[in-house]
Amino acid sequence: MNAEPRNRFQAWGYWAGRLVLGIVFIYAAILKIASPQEFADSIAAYQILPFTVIDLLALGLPLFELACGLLVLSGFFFRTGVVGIIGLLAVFVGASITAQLKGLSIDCGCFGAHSWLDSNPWMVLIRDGLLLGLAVFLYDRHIRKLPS
Amino acid sequence: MLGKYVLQDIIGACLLLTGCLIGGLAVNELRCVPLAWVYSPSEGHLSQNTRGLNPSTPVSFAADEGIDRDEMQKLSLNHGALVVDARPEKQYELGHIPSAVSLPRNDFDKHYQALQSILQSHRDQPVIVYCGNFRCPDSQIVAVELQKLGYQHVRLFRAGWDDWQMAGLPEEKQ
Repeated sequence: MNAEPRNRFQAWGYWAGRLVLGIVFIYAAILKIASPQEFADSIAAYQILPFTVIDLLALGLPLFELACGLLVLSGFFFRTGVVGIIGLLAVFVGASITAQLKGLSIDCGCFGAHSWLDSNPWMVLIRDGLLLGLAVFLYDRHIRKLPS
Repeated sequence: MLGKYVLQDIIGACLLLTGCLIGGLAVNELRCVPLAWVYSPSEGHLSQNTRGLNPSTPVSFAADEGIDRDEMQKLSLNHGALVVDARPEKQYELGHIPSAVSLPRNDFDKHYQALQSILQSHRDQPVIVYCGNFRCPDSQIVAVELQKLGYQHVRLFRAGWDDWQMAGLPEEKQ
Protein backbone atom coordinates (compact mmCIF):
# COMPACT_ATOMS: atom_id res chain seq x y z
CA MET A 1 0.00 0.00 0.00
CA ASN A 2 1.30 3.48 -0.86
CA ALA A 3 2.04 5.94 1.91
CA GLU A 4 -0.73 8.36 0.95
CA PRO A 5 -3.70 5.94 0.90
CA ARG A 6 -2.37 4.34 4.06
CA ASN A 7 -2.25 7.73 5.79
CA ARG A 8 -5.72 8.52 4.54
CA PHE A 9 -6.97 5.17 5.85
CA GLN A 10 -5.35 5.83 9.23
CA ALA A 11 -6.85 9.31 9.37
CA TRP A 12 -10.34 7.91 8.67
CA GLY A 13 -9.77 5.19 11.25
CA TYR A 14 -8.69 7.79 13.77
CA TRP A 15 -11.80 9.95 13.32
CA ALA A 16 -14.13 6.95 13.20
CA GLY A 17 -12.51 5.57 16.35
CA ARG A 18 -12.96 8.87 18.17
CA LEU A 19 -16.58 9.00 17.12
CA VAL A 20 -17.30 5.43 18.22
CA LEU A 21 -15.51 5.77 21.56
CA GLY A 22 -17.08 9.12 22.37
CA ILE A 23 -20.62 8.12 21.47
CA VAL A 24 -20.45 4.75 23.24
CA PHE A 25 -19.29 6.35 26.50
CA ILE A 26 -21.75 9.24 26.35
CA TYR A 27 -24.62 6.85 25.64
CA ALA A 28 -23.60 4.47 28.44
CA ALA A 29 -23.20 7.38 30.87
CA ILE A 30 -26.64 8.86 30.16
CA LEU A 31 -28.33 5.49 30.81
CA LYS A 32 -26.54 5.13 34.14
CA ILE A 33 -27.10 8.71 35.26
CA ALA A 34 -30.82 8.15 34.70
CA SER A 35 -30.94 5.17 37.09
CA PRO A 36 -28.14 5.24 39.68
CA GLN A 37 -29.77 2.63 41.95
CA GLU A 38 -29.74 0.06 39.15
CA PHE A 39 -26.10 0.82 38.44
CA ALA A 40 -25.32 0.48 42.16
CA ASP A 41 -27.05 -2.94 42.14
CA SER A 42 -24.93 -3.94 39.14
CA ILE A 43 -21.72 -2.94 40.93
CA ALA A 44 -22.84 -4.80 44.09
CA ALA A 45 -23.53 -7.95 42.08
CA TYR A 46 -19.80 -8.26 41.27
CA GLN A 47 -19.18 -8.84 45.00
CA ILE A 48 -15.82 -7.10 44.84
CA LEU A 49 -16.31 -3.76 46.58
CA PRO A 50 -17.55 -2.98 50.09
CA PHE A 51 -21.02 -1.46 50.35
CA THR A 52 -19.51 1.81 51.63
CA VAL A 53 -18.07 2.82 48.24
CA ILE A 54 -20.68 1.38 45.87
CA ASP A 55 -23.04 4.36 45.88
CA LEU A 56 -20.17 6.84 45.55
CA LEU A 57 -19.00 5.03 42.41
CA ALA A 58 -22.56 4.60 41.09
CA LEU A 59 -22.99 8.36 41.28
CA GLY A 60 -19.53 9.46 40.13
CA LEU A 61 -18.46 6.96 37.45
CA PRO A 62 -21.26 7.80 34.99
CA LEU A 63 -20.28 11.48 35.19
CA PHE A 64 -16.67 10.49 34.58
CA GLU A 65 -17.72 8.41 31.56
CA LEU A 66 -19.74 11.34 30.24
CA ALA A 67 -16.84 13.77 30.74
CA CYS A 68 -14.34 11.43 29.05
CA GLY A 69 -16.71 10.79 26.14
CA LEU A 70 -17.21 14.51 25.63
CA LEU A 71 -13.47 15.21 25.81
CA VAL A 72 -12.72 12.51 23.23
CA LEU A 73 -15.45 13.70 20.91
CA SER A 74 -14.63 17.41 21.20
CA GLY A 75 -10.85 17.06 21.16
CA PHE A 76 -10.56 19.41 24.16
CA PHE A 77 -8.11 17.76 26.62
CA PHE A 78 -8.34 14.77 24.30
CA ARG A 79 -5.51 12.77 25.88
CA THR A 80 -6.98 13.11 29.39
CA GLY A 81 -10.30 11.78 28.11
CA VAL A 82 -8.69 8.80 26.37
CA VAL A 83 -6.59 7.93 29.42
CA GLY A 84 -9.76 8.07 31.54
CA ILE A 85 -11.48 5.70 29.12
CA ILE A 86 -8.48 3.33 29.08
CA GLY A 87 -8.59 3.25 32.90
CA LEU A 88 -12.34 2.59 32.96
CA LEU A 89 -12.13 -0.16 30.36
CA ALA A 90 -9.23 -1.82 32.17
CA VAL A 91 -11.33 -1.87 35.36
CA PHE A 92 -14.39 -3.18 33.50
CA VAL A 93 -12.38 -5.98 31.86
CA GLY A 94 -10.79 -6.90 35.21
CA ALA A 95 -14.19 -6.95 36.96
CA SER A 96 -15.75 -9.06 34.18
CA ILE A 97 -12.93 -11.62 34.37
CA THR A 98 -13.25 -11.75 38.19
CA ALA A 99 -17.02 -12.33 37.89
CA GLN A 100 -16.44 -15.11 35.37
CA LEU A 101 -13.85 -16.76 37.61
CA LYS A 102 -16.25 -16.58 40.56
CA GLY A 103 -18.93 -18.19 38.40
CA LEU A 104 -21.29 -15.24 38.74
CA SER A 105 -23.83 -14.87 35.97
CA ILE A 106 -24.63 -11.19 36.26
CA ASP A 107 -25.56 -8.21 34.18
CA CYS A 108 -22.45 -6.02 33.80
CA GLY A 109 -24.59 -2.89 33.96
CA CYS A 110 -22.42 -1.21 31.31
CA PHE A 111 -25.46 0.11 29.43
CA GLY A 112 -27.86 0.36 32.36
CA ALA A 113 -29.64 -2.59 33.90
CA HIS A 114 -31.19 -5.36 31.78
CA SER A 115 -29.74 -4.13 28.47
CA TRP A 116 -29.49 -6.63 25.62
CA LEU A 117 -26.01 -5.23 24.99
CA ASP A 118 -24.87 -6.79 28.29
CA SER A 119 -26.69 -10.11 28.11
CA ASN A 120 -23.69 -12.31 27.24
CA PRO A 121 -20.62 -12.01 29.54
CA TRP A 122 -18.21 -13.22 26.84
CA MET A 123 -19.52 -10.65 24.39
CA VAL A 124 -19.10 -8.00 27.07
CA LEU A 125 -15.47 -9.05 27.52
CA ILE A 126 -14.79 -9.02 23.79
CA ARG A 127 -16.54 -5.66 23.34
CA ASP A 128 -14.62 -4.06 26.21
CA GLY A 129 -11.37 -5.58 24.92
CA LEU A 130 -11.96 -4.13 21.44
CA LEU A 131 -12.83 -0.70 22.86
CA LEU A 132 -9.70 -0.85 25.02
CA GLY A 133 -7.61 -1.64 21.94
CA LEU A 134 -9.23 1.25 20.09
CA ALA A 135 -8.56 3.68 22.96
CA VAL A 136 -4.91 2.61 23.18
CA PHE A 137 -4.56 3.03 19.40
CA LEU A 138 -6.00 6.58 19.55
CA TYR A 139 -3.81 7.55 22.48
CA ASP A 140 -0.69 6.09 20.87
CA ARG A 141 -1.37 7.88 17.59
CA HIS A 142 -1.86 11.18 19.41
CA ILE A 143 1.10 11.01 21.73
CA ARG A 144 3.57 10.08 18.98
CA LYS A 145 2.95 13.44 17.35
CA LEU A 146 4.13 15.32 20.45
CA PRO A 147 7.68 16.70 20.60
CA SER A 148 9.89 14.35 22.58
CA MET B 1 10.20 12.01 27.29
CA LEU B 2 6.85 10.59 26.23
CA GLY B 3 6.53 9.23 29.75
CA LYS B 4 6.18 12.79 30.97
CA TYR B 5 3.06 13.26 28.82
CA VAL B 6 1.62 9.93 29.97
CA LEU B 7 2.13 10.93 33.60
CA GLN B 8 0.50 14.31 32.97
CA ASP B 9 -2.48 12.59 31.36
CA ILE B 10 -2.86 10.09 34.21
CA ILE B 11 -2.80 12.92 36.75
CA GLY B 12 -5.33 14.84 34.65
CA ALA B 13 -7.63 11.81 34.48
CA CYS B 14 -7.34 11.27 38.26
CA LEU B 15 -8.26 14.91 38.92
CA LEU B 16 -11.19 14.59 36.54
CA LEU B 17 -12.34 11.41 38.30
CA THR B 18 -12.13 13.12 41.70
CA GLY B 19 -14.17 16.04 40.38
CA CYS B 20 -16.78 13.67 38.96
CA LEU B 21 -17.09 11.72 42.23
CA ILE B 22 -17.66 14.98 44.12
CA GLY B 23 -19.99 16.19 41.36
CA GLY B 24 -21.91 12.89 41.56
CA LEU B 25 -22.52 13.39 45.27
CA ALA B 26 -23.62 16.99 44.67
CA VAL B 27 -26.01 16.02 41.85
CA ASN B 28 -27.38 13.25 44.07
CA GLU B 29 -28.53 15.81 46.62
CA LEU B 30 -30.64 17.45 43.91
CA ARG B 31 -32.43 14.23 43.04
CA CYS B 32 -36.03 13.67 44.17
CA VAL B 33 -34.98 10.34 45.70
CA PRO B 34 -31.24 10.59 46.46
CA LEU B 35 -29.15 7.48 46.97
CA ALA B 36 -27.95 6.82 50.49
CA TRP B 37 -24.24 7.39 51.15
CA VAL B 38 -23.82 3.71 51.93
CA TYR B 39 -25.25 1.25 49.42
CA SER B 40 -28.36 -0.68 50.25
CA PRO B 41 -30.01 -3.05 47.77
CA SER B 42 -32.91 -1.66 45.77
CA GLU B 43 -36.53 -2.36 46.67
CA GLY B 44 -35.82 -1.80 50.34
CA HIS B 45 -33.32 -3.01 52.90
CA LEU B 46 -32.53 -6.19 54.69
CA SER B 47 -33.74 -5.63 58.22
CA GLN B 48 -31.45 -4.89 61.14
CA ASN B 49 -31.22 -8.49 62.37
CA THR B 50 -30.31 -9.80 58.96
CA ARG B 51 -27.99 -6.91 58.21
CA GLY B 52 -25.87 -8.09 61.12
CA LEU B 53 -25.30 -11.26 59.15
CA ASN B 54 -24.52 -9.38 55.97
CA PRO B 55 -20.81 -8.58 55.63
CA SER B 56 -19.67 -5.47 53.79
CA THR B 57 -18.33 -7.68 51.01
CA PRO B 58 -20.90 -10.36 50.21
CA VAL B 59 -20.03 -14.05 50.07
CA SER B 60 -19.78 -15.43 46.55
CA PHE B 61 -22.11 -18.09 45.23
CA ALA B 62 -20.65 -20.51 42.71
CA ALA B 63 -22.26 -21.19 39.33
CA ASP B 64 -22.28 -24.97 39.87
CA GLU B 65 -24.84 -24.43 42.62
CA GLY B 66 -27.40 -23.47 39.98
CA ILE B 67 -30.06 -25.69 38.42
CA ASP B 68 -31.85 -25.51 35.10
CA ARG B 69 -35.55 -25.35 34.32
CA ASP B 70 -36.00 -29.11 33.80
CA GLU B 71 -34.50 -29.94 37.15
CA MET B 72 -36.48 -27.16 38.75
CA GLN B 73 -39.67 -28.55 37.25
CA LYS B 74 -38.96 -32.07 38.53
CA LEU B 75 -38.14 -30.89 42.03
CA SER B 76 -41.16 -28.61 42.12
CA LEU B 77 -43.58 -31.32 40.98
CA ASN B 78 -42.14 -34.02 43.27
CA HIS B 79 -41.91 -31.65 46.24
CA GLY B 80 -38.29 -32.77 46.43
CA ALA B 81 -37.11 -29.37 47.57
CA LEU B 82 -38.29 -26.20 49.22
CA VAL B 83 -38.68 -23.53 46.54
CA VAL B 84 -38.08 -19.96 47.67
CA ASP B 85 -39.21 -16.90 45.71
CA ALA B 86 -36.83 -13.98 46.46
CA ARG B 87 -38.77 -11.37 44.47
CA PRO B 88 -40.80 -8.61 46.15
CA GLU B 89 -44.00 -9.91 47.73
CA LYS B 90 -46.21 -8.07 45.24
CA GLN B 91 -44.63 -9.95 42.35
CA TYR B 92 -45.00 -13.23 44.23
CA GLU B 93 -48.69 -12.55 44.71
CA LEU B 94 -49.15 -11.94 40.98
CA GLY B 95 -47.70 -15.33 40.14
CA HIS B 96 -45.06 -17.79 41.30
CA ILE B 97 -43.79 -21.33 40.86
CA PRO B 98 -46.25 -23.82 42.44
CA SER B 99 -45.50 -24.59 46.10
CA ALA B 100 -42.90 -21.78 46.31
CA VAL B 101 -42.78 -19.74 49.51
CA SER B 102 -42.14 -16.00 49.49
CA LEU B 103 -38.90 -14.81 51.08
CA PRO B 104 -38.30 -11.42 49.45
CA ARG B 105 -34.90 -9.86 49.70
CA ASN B 106 -36.39 -6.48 50.54
CA ASP B 107 -38.18 -7.83 53.62
CA PHE B 108 -36.07 -10.85 54.42
CA ASP B 109 -36.14 -10.79 58.20
CA LYS B 110 -39.92 -10.47 58.61
CA HIS B 111 -40.62 -13.28 56.16
CA TYR B 112 -37.83 -15.43 57.53
CA GLN B 113 -39.40 -15.28 61.00
CA ALA B 114 -42.77 -16.29 59.56
CA LEU B 115 -41.28 -19.14 57.54
CA GLN B 116 -38.84 -20.35 60.14
CA SER B 117 -40.71 -23.58 60.97
CA ILE B 118 -41.02 -24.54 57.28
CA LEU B 119 -37.41 -23.61 56.60
CA GLN B 120 -36.14 -25.46 59.68
CA SER B 121 -37.86 -28.64 58.50
CA HIS B 122 -35.92 -28.34 55.22
CA ARG B 123 -32.56 -27.58 56.81
CA ASP B 124 -31.03 -30.79 55.44
CA GLN B 125 -32.93 -30.81 52.16
CA PRO B 126 -32.39 -28.79 48.98
CA VAL B 127 -33.63 -25.21 49.11
CA ILE B 128 -33.93 -23.63 45.67
CA VAL B 129 -34.03 -19.86 45.39
CA TYR B 130 -35.14 -17.90 42.34
CA CYS B 131 -35.99 -14.33 41.37
CA GLY B 132 -36.91 -12.66 38.07
CA ASN B 133 -34.15 -13.77 35.74
CA PHE B 134 -30.38 -14.14 35.29
CA ARG B 135 -29.81 -10.47 35.86
CA CYS B 136 -31.58 -9.85 39.16
CA PRO B 137 -29.39 -10.13 42.26
CA ASP B 138 -32.21 -11.02 44.70
CA SER B 139 -31.94 -14.81 44.53
CA GLN B 140 -28.20 -14.71 45.08
CA ILE B 141 -28.49 -12.38 48.07
CA VAL B 142 -31.21 -14.47 49.71
CA ALA B 143 -29.28 -17.68 48.98
CA VAL B 144 -26.16 -16.30 50.64
CA GLU B 145 -28.21 -15.19 53.67
CA LEU B 146 -29.71 -18.69 53.99
CA GLN B 147 -26.26 -20.27 53.74
CA LYS B 148 -25.05 -18.04 56.53
CA LEU B 149 -28.04 -19.11 58.60
CA GLY B 150 -26.91 -22.71 58.29
CA TYR B 151 -28.79 -24.06 55.27
CA GLN B 152 -26.25 -26.26 53.55
CA HIS B 153 -28.09 -27.29 50.40
CA VAL B 154 -29.08 -23.94 48.92
CA ARG B 155 -29.16 -23.81 45.12
CA LEU B 156 -30.14 -21.19 42.58
CA PHE B 157 -32.60 -21.37 39.73
CA ARG B 158 -30.89 -18.51 37.92
CA ALA B 159 -33.13 -18.33 34.86
CA GLY B 160 -35.91 -17.54 37.32
CA TRP B 161 -39.54 -16.62 36.93
CA ASP B 162 -39.20 -15.15 33.41
CA ASP B 163 -37.87 -18.46 32.07
CA TRP B 164 -40.52 -20.49 33.92
CA GLN B 165 -43.32 -18.30 32.63
CA MET B 166 -42.00 -18.20 29.05
CA ALA B 167 -41.94 -22.01 29.00
CA GLY B 168 -45.66 -21.97 29.80
CA LEU B 169 -45.22 -24.03 32.97
CA PRO B 170 -47.93 -24.08 35.64
CA GLU B 171 -48.06 -21.18 38.03
CA GLU B 172 -49.76 -20.35 41.27
CA LYS B 173 -51.34 -17.06 42.26
CA GLN B 174 -52.16 -15.74 45.66
